[in-house]
Amino acid sequence: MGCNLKDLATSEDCELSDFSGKKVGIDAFLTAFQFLTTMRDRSTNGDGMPLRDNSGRYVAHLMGFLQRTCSLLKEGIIPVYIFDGKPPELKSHELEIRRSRRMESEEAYKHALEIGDYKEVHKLAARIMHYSPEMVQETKDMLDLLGVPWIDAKAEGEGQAAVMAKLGQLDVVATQDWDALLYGTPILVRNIMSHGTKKYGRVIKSQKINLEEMLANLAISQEQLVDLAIMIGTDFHPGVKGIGPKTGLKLIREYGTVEAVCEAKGKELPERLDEIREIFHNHPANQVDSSAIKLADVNREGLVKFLQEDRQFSQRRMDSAFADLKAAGRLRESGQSTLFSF
Amino acid sequence: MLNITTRQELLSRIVDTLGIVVEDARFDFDENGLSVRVVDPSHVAMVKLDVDSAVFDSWEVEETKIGLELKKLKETLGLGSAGDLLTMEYKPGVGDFHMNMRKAKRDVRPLDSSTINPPNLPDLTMPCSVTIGGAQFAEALRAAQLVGDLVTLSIDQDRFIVNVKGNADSVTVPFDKEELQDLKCESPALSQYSLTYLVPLSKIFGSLESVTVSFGENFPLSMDFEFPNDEGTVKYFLAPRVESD
Repeated sequence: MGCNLKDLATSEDCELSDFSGKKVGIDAFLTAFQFLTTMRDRSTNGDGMPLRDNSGRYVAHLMGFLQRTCSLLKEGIIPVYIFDGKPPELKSHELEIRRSRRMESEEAYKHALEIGDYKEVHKLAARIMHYSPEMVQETKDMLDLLGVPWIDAKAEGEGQAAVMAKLGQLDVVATQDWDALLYGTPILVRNIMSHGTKKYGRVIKSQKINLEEMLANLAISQEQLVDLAIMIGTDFHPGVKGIGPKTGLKLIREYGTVEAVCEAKGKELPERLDEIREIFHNHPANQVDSSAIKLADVNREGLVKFLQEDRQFSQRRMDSAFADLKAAGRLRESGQSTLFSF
Repeated sequence: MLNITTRQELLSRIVDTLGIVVEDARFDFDENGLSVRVVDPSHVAMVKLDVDSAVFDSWEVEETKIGLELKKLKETLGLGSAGDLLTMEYKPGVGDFHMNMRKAKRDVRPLDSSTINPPNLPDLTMPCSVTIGGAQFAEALRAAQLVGDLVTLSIDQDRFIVNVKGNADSVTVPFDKEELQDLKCESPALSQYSLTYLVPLSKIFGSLESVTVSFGENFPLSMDFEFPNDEGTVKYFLAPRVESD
């Protein structure tokens, strides 16, 4: 999933409230995978797959997006979900690897299920999750009912978001994918919902990375950051053998470009280098009308039908969502509204 | 680096305007002037304030952002009176924010400016607006306050009306188009706002020649005005009390 720039980035802890009134671009696919891999049937003999409604239809993604969206709205944030488009042709090798791994996991999952090894079933289920086109459409339908904007990316979701952030259409981009920085997003937020939550024994806090400050700290240009990432390895190329973040940084500072580094160190130049650079520097993106990036009215009746009547969402879940929407001033009931509800 | 001299009444006006909405604010200084954006914790009212560097008595500034408690500024300003000069000095990253008022030197520890995030201004197209004398509008709001906490503003092509309905009483202050400096109305509109936010602001704009009030049907209100002698520009937003459908 993108290039790991963790060791190179300078980040600062931040709070959700820091983004009140801001348009936050959210990578919808990565977010959906978080929901699908966490909201699963993990009962003793459960199949480990995402939670379903009475008719067997998956609903974990809708539960996740509903709760996440309402929490963001309550904080006065304008979430703008960006859905992946067609991946660049250069990514096909990486996608083929992922597909093949998935197929292996699917076989192992079936086997584990047959022999009743539920511990293994639960582990493997997370690896075979698929955010299907139907689920994507359902998510978009629910966002429409919530009055929350969403955008179809031309190619990579985080790339589209970065292009929009550079144009000032988004204030920040929230994704776990470091590539957003390579695409040039001025501000990246990781773990946006985490406030000292513990995960695998580590305390996770949301972090803000300012691209300009990061480049200044590394003493390199945006072009050099992209070249550095290409050497470390991206979704579009495995990278230059023997070069990790620290060595790569040293070399790019010394030699300036991938070509110069490879020549000086006798390394093989990555294939289709200019095409990879182009994907990062000029990522294909759909043009979006800025006036469309705003909140619309919540369709309360529509949500009740879509989630509660059609998919058996519990009263408690619905009450909690409506309480957040009310606190956000998104439900036009009598009372004081907020400036961010318009 | 920051080294500024200001007249007491100018900074007082700035602090009083911001103080209607928040207790702490981030002051963004650059070579052109001072800019501040604040929103109250409930996201109901917002102020954007810009003051040109030329209206200060001296201005030596490299771009600096400082978080300050308004109460401390107000207290220090209270040591002087209109016409007195106050100097402010600050070196980012070094330490305190220094203020000198008459014989008193006050050092204030700035707030962590990275934790105070100025809000984005709401992106609103206002369908109706009136430009009215500051005193006229302030007087109408004072009258409204006699009866209730919520004021209803209504407008059509010919009139702008300030109205409050209490349990038993009511107050109406109508302004015909001829009494106003300007009136624009795309379609008749009516919206209700809390006087708790509006009346304190009337102390700021009450002495001004004109203030522009814009709103729409069940829609936020914005007010635009300038400090006396064009010493600062204020844009104020207030969310409405919304009626159920």
